[in-house]
Amino acid sequence: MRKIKDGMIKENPLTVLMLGLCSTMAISTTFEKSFLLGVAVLLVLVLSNTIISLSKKWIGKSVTTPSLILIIGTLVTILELLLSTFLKPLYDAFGIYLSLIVVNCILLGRGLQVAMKESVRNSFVDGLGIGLGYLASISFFGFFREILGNGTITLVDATEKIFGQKIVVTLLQGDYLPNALFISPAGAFLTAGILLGILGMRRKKHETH
Amino acid sequence: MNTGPFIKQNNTTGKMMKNLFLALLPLLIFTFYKNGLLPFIKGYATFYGMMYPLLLLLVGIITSYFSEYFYFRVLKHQTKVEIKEELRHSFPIFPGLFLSLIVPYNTPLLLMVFASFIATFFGKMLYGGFGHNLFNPALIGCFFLLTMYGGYIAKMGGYFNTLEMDTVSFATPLSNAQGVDGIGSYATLVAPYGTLWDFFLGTIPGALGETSALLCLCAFFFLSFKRVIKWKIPAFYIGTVFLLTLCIGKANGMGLWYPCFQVLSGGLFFGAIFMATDPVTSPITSIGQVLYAIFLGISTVTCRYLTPLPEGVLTSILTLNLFVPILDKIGSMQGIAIKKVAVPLLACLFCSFLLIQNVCLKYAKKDATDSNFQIIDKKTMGKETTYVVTQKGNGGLIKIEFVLEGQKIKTMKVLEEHETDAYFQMVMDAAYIDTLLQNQEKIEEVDTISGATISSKALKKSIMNVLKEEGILR
Amino acid sequence: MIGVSLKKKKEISLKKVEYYLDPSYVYLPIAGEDIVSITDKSVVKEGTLLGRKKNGLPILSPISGVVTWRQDEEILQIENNHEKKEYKEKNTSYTKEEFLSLIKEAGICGMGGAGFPTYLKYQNAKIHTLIVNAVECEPYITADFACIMENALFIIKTIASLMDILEIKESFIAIKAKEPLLKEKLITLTSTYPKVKVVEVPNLYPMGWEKSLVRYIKHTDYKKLPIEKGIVVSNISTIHAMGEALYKEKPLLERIVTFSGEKMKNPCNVHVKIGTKIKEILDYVEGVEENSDIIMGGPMMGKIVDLDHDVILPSTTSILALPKQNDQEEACIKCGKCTENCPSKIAPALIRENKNNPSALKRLNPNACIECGICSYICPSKIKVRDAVMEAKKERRKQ
Repeated sequence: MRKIKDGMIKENPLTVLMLGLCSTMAISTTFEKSFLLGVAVLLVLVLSNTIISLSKKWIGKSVTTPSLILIIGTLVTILELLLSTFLKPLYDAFGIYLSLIVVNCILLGRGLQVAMKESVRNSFVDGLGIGLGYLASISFFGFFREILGNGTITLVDATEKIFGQKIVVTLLQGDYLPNALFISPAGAFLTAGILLGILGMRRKKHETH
Repeated sequence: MNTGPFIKQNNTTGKMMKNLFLALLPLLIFTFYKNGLLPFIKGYATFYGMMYPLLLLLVGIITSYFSEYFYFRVLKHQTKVEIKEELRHSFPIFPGLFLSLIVPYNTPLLLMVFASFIATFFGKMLYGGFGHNLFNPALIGCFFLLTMYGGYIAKMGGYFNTLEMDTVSFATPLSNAQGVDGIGSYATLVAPYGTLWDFFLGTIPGALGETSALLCLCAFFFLSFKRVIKWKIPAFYIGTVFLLTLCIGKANGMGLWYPCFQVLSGGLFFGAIFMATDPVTSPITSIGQVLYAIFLGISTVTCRYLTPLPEGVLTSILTLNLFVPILDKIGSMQGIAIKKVAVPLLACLFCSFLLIQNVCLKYAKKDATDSNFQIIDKKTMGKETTYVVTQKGNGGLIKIEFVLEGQKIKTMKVLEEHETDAYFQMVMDAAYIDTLLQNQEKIEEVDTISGATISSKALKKSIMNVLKEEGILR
Repeated sequence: MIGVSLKKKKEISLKKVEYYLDPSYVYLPIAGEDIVSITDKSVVKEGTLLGRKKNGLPILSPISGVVTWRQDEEILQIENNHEKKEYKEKNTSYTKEEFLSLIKEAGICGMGGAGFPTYLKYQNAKIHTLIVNAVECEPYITADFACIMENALFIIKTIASLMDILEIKESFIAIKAKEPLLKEKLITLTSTYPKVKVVEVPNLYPMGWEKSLVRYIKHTDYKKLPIEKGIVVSNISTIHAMGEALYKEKPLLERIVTFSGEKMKNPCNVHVKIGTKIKEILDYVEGVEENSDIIMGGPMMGKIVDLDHDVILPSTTSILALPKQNDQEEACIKCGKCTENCPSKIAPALIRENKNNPSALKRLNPNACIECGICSYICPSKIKVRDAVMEAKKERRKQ
């Protein structure tokens, strides 16, 4: 349990380890997309960590990275195929960033650092923790960007097929607040900067205490 | 123990900033006059509208002070006494002051607070305070403002104050010029706003305080005399823009008025004299300054002609601010004098040639003559010019004779045609030729005859090509 | 020409000339590598050889008296027995080698402030031009001026002799423009010596710097030493000392020092013996007002005097008492004034930023700094830029 908490806060992939920022910035334009990407990464991460840990005896030192990419790639491809069949709108919404999960540094990074060294159970838990941390932070990202950029929270849009209808909550309206900057890529960097800055300050305060 | 020189000179940073403020004072008064007092006197604005520029100024400055106070208090945990001392050395007035001169008139007060906060807090204090910022703070604030809420401000009236909204308000001079790709005649580019002298004085639409080139020039001389600003930067910046637009103008047959127009609009003078010379964000070395200014000039001209942004000054300065450390690196190289200057300067020349080429080619493409059009004969007798031309129609070449007197086509006669009789008859029955001749000045707007599109289009194109040949149509 | 215009303030010290040539004690500083050949408690006469410095120059006794010196001490003290020595004018002719040996044994070194052994400067074979530095570009100092006023014809005669002995083709006496007294005096006297020309240089600091003079007068530049272009630059007081050695066989034992400054009670020029304690002379000339900094050298390049230990050296040009300054340093606004006005054409503000960055220092070349102090002087934020550059120089030397 503690390990999971660690993964979420102390070793949060986005804000502390700063891995996987590119897909975060590109996808997190709406809350729903961010949440679903987080779920996708969580799934792939847990599975990949487990599988890598299971097969670590058979992966030679000189072929570690290609082997890991192979495993992760296979998992992502399965995910892609599933999504493109059952949830096409979501597949379209993700676009290229679904395939890019393969090279998302979180997966390869945790695979090398943790899964190759620790037991299966530990790798599973670590994957879960880091994945949840990623899910939490990317959702928060998407939430923040969408609220400030559009004034809405999209709960169901691309997954319409499952729920039957779109659910988009409009919270903020008015002259000033919805502005296009936060939806744009520049806004992603700005949000990331502000968020990381605030969290960094809090961490520094904790450390000095 | 004191080690340094034991005599001192009287110039301090505080004095330099005071001189800078003095130089800005005429501009502030002009802003108030042009955007507030004049409309009020002429009855276009209310009392609130008259005081609005001053309100913006006040709000901007107060927010700057508050932002710095906030920074020192919350991030640095200093006491009130310490903060007072810090503020004395940090000159918080300037981001707010400059900002109130470069924002559009119709900026709501709340957005002014926002812009000023961003400018001071993010553009200046977070980098380490006075003397440590990388970007010009006022420009950062203005940039955020226009990027995020530019559309909203444009809806509220944009750059036009209440007087201009009723008299001039179709576009600022540079947006107007951009509509014709920057190349037009004196009548289309300059005349709608007045004469070039009006441009120089500043009685044209633009941001609050940056229109008056005259006052900026006076400030330039004052500040250079008092050795407050780096004079090389405005000199080379404006010079480069003038030179490049001169070449562009000459390549498109426009006279000396064109570079003057380009140089006097878009707040170039203000940007070059006050924003580009901000000491903290501009190069220290002499050669660095010259290169900075030349690249600024090239960048501004590029922005104005080849990008959707009408004004290049803001983005050019912000972009070049990034390169200042590199330019200083070049400027501080010792010994190999030629190498260190030749390479960047060659890069400049190359860039500017590419730029001029590009703009001219872009314009030339529009101007390409119709390949279906050919002039067979051209005769000039006294005031009249007679053209015999062929224009490709539906069934073959249509031979037409035009007689021009001065700038107008007097007659148009079809000598030979191979069109389908029924369709061509339609065109003739509709007195299409008369319609074309009557609407020569707005020839592009004349519709073709439906049902006989190709034939009527051929006739219309023939007139257009003749007009183009004569230089009447561009 | 790059430089700043400083207020001259020369009139203050021209009011009178004092003489303090009979101190009770003189103290000669002995460095670790110097060799002392005299023993403790010996009685010496004026001009006696006491030892040899590391740079080859002899250590001579400025007065007659009793020596107090123990091994490994840093100061050699001589107690005055007030015997005087007379020097008569002779008219010997010298070859070049004899001349060089003469000025070496007379202990002549640069009297303009650097203290470089003069014989080393002149021993090169191909000297084409001699520039005599009478510019005195730092404010307050009038030691050279006083020397010229007293000995103008003698100095010019010396220059002419030097030109004969060393086969120098041309020579210039460089004086500041707008100094009519000096100009008049020198021009009338050089009319009898056509090979010696008087040239006026602009009234800027640091016009008295070697490179500035060479650039302005000969329109040429050099890398390390002016001898690369066949030019030698010497201070006019040094020339005067060489003349004393040539014509009277009198070594360098005394000099004129300017005592000046707003806080100096009785500003004047004083003839003093080398080795006199500065505190003694200050008391003699009535001392200084309170809350002042006492400086040895000019206000731009001088250093604060340690009243307990410092003595007059051949390179001491002046002692100034100036008001204390307490300006607070502010942030560098990168105004560029230091870089614009640096005579060595380096960028002091950039060097200060990159003090701890070896690769940047390689490019910025702080070793070219001549420590003239213009950067610190002109900085509107009152930053001690020169100190930063000197630190950078040290960093650079370590590599």
